[in-house]
Amino acid sequence: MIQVTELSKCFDGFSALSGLNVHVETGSIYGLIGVNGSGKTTLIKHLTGVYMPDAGQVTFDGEDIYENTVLKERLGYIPDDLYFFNSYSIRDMASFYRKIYPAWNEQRYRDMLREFGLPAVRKISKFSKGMQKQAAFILVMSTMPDYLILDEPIDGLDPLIRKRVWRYVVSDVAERQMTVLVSSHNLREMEGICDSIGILSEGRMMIERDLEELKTDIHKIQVAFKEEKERPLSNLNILHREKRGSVELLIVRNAGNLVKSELEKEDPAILDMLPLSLEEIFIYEMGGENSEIQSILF
Amino acid sequence: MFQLDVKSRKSIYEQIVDNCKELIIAGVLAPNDKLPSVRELSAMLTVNPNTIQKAYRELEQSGWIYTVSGLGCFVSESRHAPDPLQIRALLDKIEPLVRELLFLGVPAESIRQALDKMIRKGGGSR
Amino acid sequence: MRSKAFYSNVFSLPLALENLKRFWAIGTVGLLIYLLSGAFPLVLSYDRIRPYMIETMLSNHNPGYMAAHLFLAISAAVAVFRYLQNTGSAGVMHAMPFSRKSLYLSSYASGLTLAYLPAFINGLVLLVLKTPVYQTVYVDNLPIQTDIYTAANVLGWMAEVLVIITFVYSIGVFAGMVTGSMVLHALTALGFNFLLTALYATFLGYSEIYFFGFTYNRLISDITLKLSPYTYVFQAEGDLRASAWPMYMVAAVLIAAGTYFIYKKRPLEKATESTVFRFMEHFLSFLIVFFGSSLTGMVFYENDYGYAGYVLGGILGFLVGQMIVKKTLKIFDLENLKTFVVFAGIMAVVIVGFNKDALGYERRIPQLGSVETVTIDSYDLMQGNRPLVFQETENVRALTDFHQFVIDRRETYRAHQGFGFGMTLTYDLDSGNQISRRYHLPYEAVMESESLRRLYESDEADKPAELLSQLQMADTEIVLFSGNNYESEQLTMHYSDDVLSNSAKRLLLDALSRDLKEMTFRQLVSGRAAILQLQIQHRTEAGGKTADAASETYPYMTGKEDSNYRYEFFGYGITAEYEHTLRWITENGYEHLLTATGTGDFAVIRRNCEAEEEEGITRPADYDRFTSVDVKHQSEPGSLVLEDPEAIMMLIRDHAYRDLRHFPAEEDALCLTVYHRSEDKGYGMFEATMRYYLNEADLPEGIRAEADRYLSE
Repeated sequence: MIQVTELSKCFDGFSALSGLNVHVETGSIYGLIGVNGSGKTTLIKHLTGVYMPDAGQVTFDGEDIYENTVLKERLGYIPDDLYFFNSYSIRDMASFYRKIYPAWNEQRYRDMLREFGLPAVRKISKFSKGMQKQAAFILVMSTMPDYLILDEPIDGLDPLIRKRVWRYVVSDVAERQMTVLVSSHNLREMEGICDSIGILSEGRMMIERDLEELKTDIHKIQVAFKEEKERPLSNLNILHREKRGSVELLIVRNAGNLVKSELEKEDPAILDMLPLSLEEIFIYEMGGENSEIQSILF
Repeated sequence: MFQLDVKSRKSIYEQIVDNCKELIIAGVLAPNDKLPSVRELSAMLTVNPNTIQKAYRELEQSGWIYTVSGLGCFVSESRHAPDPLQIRALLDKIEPLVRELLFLGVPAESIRQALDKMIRKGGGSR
Repeated sequence: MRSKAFYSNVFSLPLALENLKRFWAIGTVGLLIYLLSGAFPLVLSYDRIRPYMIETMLSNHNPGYMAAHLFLAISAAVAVFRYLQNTGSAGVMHAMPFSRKSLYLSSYASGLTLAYLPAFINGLVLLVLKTPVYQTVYVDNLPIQTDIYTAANVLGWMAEVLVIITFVYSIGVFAGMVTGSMVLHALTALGFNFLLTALYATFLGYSEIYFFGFTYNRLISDITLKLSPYTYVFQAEGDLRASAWPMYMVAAVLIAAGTYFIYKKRPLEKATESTVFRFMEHFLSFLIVFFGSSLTGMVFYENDYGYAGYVLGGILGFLVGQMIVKKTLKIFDLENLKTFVVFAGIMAVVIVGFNKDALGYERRIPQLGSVETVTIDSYDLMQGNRPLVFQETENVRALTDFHQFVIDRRETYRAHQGFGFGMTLTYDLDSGNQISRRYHLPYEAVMESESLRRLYESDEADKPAELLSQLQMADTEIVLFSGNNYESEQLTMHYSDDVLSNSAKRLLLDALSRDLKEMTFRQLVSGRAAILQLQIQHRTEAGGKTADAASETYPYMTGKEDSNYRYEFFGYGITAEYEHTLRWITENGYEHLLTATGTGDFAVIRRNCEAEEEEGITRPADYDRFTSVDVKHQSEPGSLVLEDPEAIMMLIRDHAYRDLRHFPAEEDALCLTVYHRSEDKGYGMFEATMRYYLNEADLPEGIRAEADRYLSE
């Protein structure tokens, strides 16, 4: 379990994180989303024990991660700007990792190398960006981490490779209760993989929920009435309301039954309740059609 | 075993539950047949194992499957009393379809006949 | 799975080995430089190795070696800590199961190994190549033929290099810990190693420009150079003695420890910024301003452009410095203006402080009570090439009076260019300190000084003269040189009395001694031309006390080095005022040394002293037809040629001065140049040997008429 409590960090007077709380259950896949500059990478640098908090705590199963080498032996991290030793091949890096990560699994390393089809002795610096990501993935997964932190992991990988990557992740979660935190902008993919979501904005956690719960709590309603009338619908938490011709589009954050009952009171001619995709939840939660937010999504 | 539709509005969890139910209803999964383990299924579908876990739990709670610890999940023998809420939800799903058929001008009698056919196919009695 | 944390908490061998694997190229290049500058030329000249080569090599004066040391230490430091200077690498390395302590220790150790291993290997190569090479080495001042290429010497070299490299490397690592980019790391690693030396040189520059009486104190210079074992080799005391090694190693360890604490505090988010700590930013920026402003300022000032240089250099330095530390061209904002004002303020304080002598350097005269001895060292006022030392209170007071006199007139005297007396005053204080001042004074300042007169006519001033009487003839060689021709007479050969009896020599020295004691100050400073040079070489047995503590120890005249002795040298310019000496000369048959010229030589009197004297001139074509006073130098108007040796000698002895001290300006003097036949310049060519100055009003009768005729134009 990863627990971040009241984490704060300032850079040169700019407050990157303030009073941030994050909770990741063991054996779950947590999706960290937020606009650029919301503090995702800063949080991740704290989770990997690179930054020192100004205030607050970052613990893994109760133990502080900073300067904790025992814990770090079980932590796998793939950053978005990858780093390999200059002129090293996968084999060179593997021989180094083998010496410092006690849980290194040679068999898995060989299997993954074969499956991904990467050359073991060529310099990683000569690989394409996508291949480098795969190389990083192989190396990190071969250390059999109990905690996996991924920062923008799958950009630039083709769908086949992506599937392969996720399959490994998901197997380890199922098999060994590996705890995963993923930061990504690809909300569609996150939707399929994550079981809980944290939405970060300006260094604070806006929403942290189980993904299913999040989805059951918010609905998209298409409703049409036979007669035009003012209908305030004050009992409902309406995030967004739009009239398109004679049909009204409502985004409502309430339990499904409450919504249904409130609307049926008005005797609608058409009433469709649809679940929202994670993308849509993100957009509407973050404050409507803010162009800045729109632009970060695919 | 079955495919997931990533484009569908239905959440993955719902799809798994529904798909399992279909397979059981269709007889592809017979009573006391073992379902794939959470691990196997998650790897097969590349889906979060917790999601699968949740789905299995839901199926167990509504009586479709039962768990033997250490061995896995199995299809239930008989059906328990149906959950009224479940029934209500399913009927709610039919309603807009019926309305649409009516709107298109299909006579009510044709609709009833079609329903009868479905019931017979599903192995139920009149 | 057993945790490897025990090792990864303190030191990680895998990481250290990995570093060596990654950066082996640096070591290889370093090794190549060592081999190419030392072992390779050695092998090429193996059958006739020059001792000089071995000596420079093993004492780290070999430039190739010095370059290699610096290259290896700095490159290694930059390479192993490169991971800190990039956000990606910093993140990944610190996310790995290493504590900062183990990252630091592993990197530090592997970097140091990388830096030193090539030297070690080179040492082994040198050991293999070892072969006896002999050189004369002075051990306890005794010259001995020693084998300088021994195993001990090579091992000593290896140890010395370890000290140097460790020290330079430690500073290089420190530089990396406080900077945020690789480029800046490399620059500051280099810069910090020479920072103190550069600061010292700058303060030296300021002192030389602004301080009246400033003299370069070798002691302080040596101390500054000794601050780093790298610069140690450039200071005068010579080689890095083994006794100093532990001190540098301890310093290196302390620096390394301090750097570790900085590492613990280092915020990793600062990678790729130029500096990691705010303080460092200002510090580096100020250093650039300081050096830029000082350098430009001094150059401009010396070229009479006043303070413009400081301002220009300061502004440029500030702009460049800010751009470097802030890594942007946009540095023109209010915040930076405030910083600039502060920096400018500091520079102003420094410059004005030097200019106005804020610390009283120029005015400093020690209290009479605190002075142990005082020394005057001035070429003209010396006797026997030896500075005068005084310790009696009234003499010290006389000197301080004179010193005060000079200081009071410093505004005039500091600007004095042209001819004058150079003089160094040194106070040795009771406390063991020493204060030294060097002045270039106009002639009147010295010649008219009552204090100096008292000083020179005191009894203490007679000490050097008395020394002469104490010299043992058996250990003294005396040579007489003519003042004007190339003749000389050796009165002693190999310290025997074969040439001249010891008693005769004794009489000469007694005569000289008497002359010196009787000489008045006025006579001493008269600046009369010397007509004879008397030079004495005195030897003492090694280990015994020499006649004068401040003696030069080199064999002078015989050219032979006798390993059991030390040699001192005294020289005297005998003028017409040295009555007794001159009488001895004539009485003992050495008058021929008193002639000015040899056969065929001549002298020329010119009005225009500044005329370029040709290196070699020919005699006028109609040589045989002219008498001495009739000849006018044909190619040159306004000059008078003299051929009569006696006339020439008389002029020199009684009327000539060796410099312009009695003349307001060069134009007021006539100059007298003596030419001797010189076959070096070609057949029939003469070269100028001595030049003297004559007072036109003071010319003897015989010459005056001719002078009037030929010298007026």
